[in-house]
Amino acid sequence: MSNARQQEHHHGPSMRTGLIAILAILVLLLGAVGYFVFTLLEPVGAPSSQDLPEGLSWVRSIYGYGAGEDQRFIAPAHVDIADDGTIWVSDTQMNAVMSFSPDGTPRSRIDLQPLVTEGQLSPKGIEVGADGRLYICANNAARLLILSADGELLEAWEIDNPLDVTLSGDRVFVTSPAGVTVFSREGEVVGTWGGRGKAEDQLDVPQGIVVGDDDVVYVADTLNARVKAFTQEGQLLWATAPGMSGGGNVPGGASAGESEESTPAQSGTGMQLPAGLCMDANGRLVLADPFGFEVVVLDPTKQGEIVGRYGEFGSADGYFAYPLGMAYDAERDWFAVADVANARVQIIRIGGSGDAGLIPAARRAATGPIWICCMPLGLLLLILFAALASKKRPRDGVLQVDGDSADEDD
Amino acid sequence: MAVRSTASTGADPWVRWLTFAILAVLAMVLTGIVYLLYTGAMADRMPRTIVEMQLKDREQEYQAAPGDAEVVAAYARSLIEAERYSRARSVIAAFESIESTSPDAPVIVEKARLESKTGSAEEALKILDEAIASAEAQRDAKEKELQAKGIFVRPPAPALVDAALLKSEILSERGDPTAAIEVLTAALEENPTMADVLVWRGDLYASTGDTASARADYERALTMIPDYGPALSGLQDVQTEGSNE
Repeated sequence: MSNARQQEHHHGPSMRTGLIAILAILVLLLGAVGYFVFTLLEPVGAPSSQDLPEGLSWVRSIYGYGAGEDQRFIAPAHVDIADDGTIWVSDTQMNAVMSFSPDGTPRSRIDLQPLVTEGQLSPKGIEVGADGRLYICANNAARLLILSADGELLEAWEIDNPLDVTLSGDRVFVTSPAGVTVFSREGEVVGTWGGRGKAEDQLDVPQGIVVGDDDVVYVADTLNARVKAFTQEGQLLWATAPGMSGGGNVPGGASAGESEESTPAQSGTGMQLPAGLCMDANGRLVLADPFGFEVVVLDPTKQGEIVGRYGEFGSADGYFAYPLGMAYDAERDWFAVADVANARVQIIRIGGSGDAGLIPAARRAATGPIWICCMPLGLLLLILFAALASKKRPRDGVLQVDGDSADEDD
Repeated sequence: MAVRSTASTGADPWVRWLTFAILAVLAMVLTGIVYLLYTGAMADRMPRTIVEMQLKDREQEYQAAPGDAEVVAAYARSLIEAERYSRARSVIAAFESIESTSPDAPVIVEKARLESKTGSAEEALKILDEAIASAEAQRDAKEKELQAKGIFVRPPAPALVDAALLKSEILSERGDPTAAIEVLTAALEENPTMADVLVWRGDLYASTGDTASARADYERALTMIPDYGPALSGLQDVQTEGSNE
């Protein structure tokens, strides 16, 4: 046996002990890191499923764009979710719109007040175009502001008291107390319909609007407490019965309590004040009812029949106090709700809104920041690969060392 | 040399596998650290729940006035509700170690609350008796002070009510509703406008079979909040029970 080999065998046990000690320290360190990962990532006071209103799961709440008290929302009234999952929030008191990554990290804040010369701007509905442009209802300034994603004012279209906005094809639909105004993408008014009133085809301060894949325009007729469906030219297709009436839709709809999918909470009364409106991945209408302290799900294929209600009044996370704006993220199958009186935006999930099953769930999980672990995990795989590969190498190595030793001996 | 090294580790499979295990664990540690850093979990991040928001606010108030009993009690209570017991203990201990600028009864109540969560209920009840005595003494002192100025009112003692409510909670958990009712009655004498406490006492009366007193409490709560859900459901329960009998 060579001197080198003798030396190695002599040092073997002490090296082994040293390595075991290092491994033990690292395992302890791993335990500590694991503890921090689980405790720091889990929000303090996060509600458990038993604490939440039936059928609703809470993902997170966003209270503002920073840790300081002066960086918190005051009255987050409307929300929208961009194609990449960015959550946009308009705050009527702060006169600003703010964006957040899907995990709630603040991305930007755009102060709108400098964009107008007089009075409070009071932003309400907000919509993000596929090109990243922001369409913001500057309610008190009587303008629809069109901004680039970095906050540069591109255009300002005149419209009295705009409340909510949505985009469809080459059209921009804006609600105001007087009804719906349809703009071309160039800002030209191409139609107005649904004048203010209580008739079937009229609207009264509609706070929510969305266009379905079937090009039907759905409007939350807020002060009439109804939801109405129109063609893009303003022809009424159907309308739910007025809210607070004990349910039932016209024409021919079943009462709310009779719905097959209804929850126990859904007994009798209609919508109180339908506001923010969006459409989920299964084509259902989902709206916020600020006076009902809940989100209400309607089936547009059954003329707005109510198929679910989720939420209760409260200040704890997962509860609502005058929810107003709503938006849906199909990729992550969650809703952003502007919970105005609680001064927060809540990200929630409700049943039946998107694809069920393990694969969509795994896909949704992968949209989180888990990808950041790829590099170290890749390193881990590399180490394991090296370990497996080197299993065959010792024999070669031994031969070579023996040869070297022989050379050295020579 | 590299080849020699491979050969040497190859000579002792233990050493080789330990080396790989170390590298693997190291990679996992790095993964965790990178994830924590990327998600900003270790930074002073914005609150994610209402509990975190209250904790942050109360902590700021506490930093500004660590000798104010009301502030310390509010912070300690937030910590207890967030199950951060060791921090709550240290905040209370810090208050006890300094000369307070305000009456200490609210902090004693929170000390009892902490004890009830982490220690023995018996000890918590003892501390609560101390808090009640302290609150009463402080109120008497305040009353005399006002009388000296020609003002003849009995000043409120919110710490007394807090202490009574906590005491009642502990007694209820120990299965002594009669004693809990007695304590709640004292709290309601102090502040008769607490609809939730009336419902609570109503529930306790109902559990002892005294449906008449339970009904009276629910009805009194409904005079304060006409559509108060818990009172309505309590009333419905006792009525159903009455009709079944």
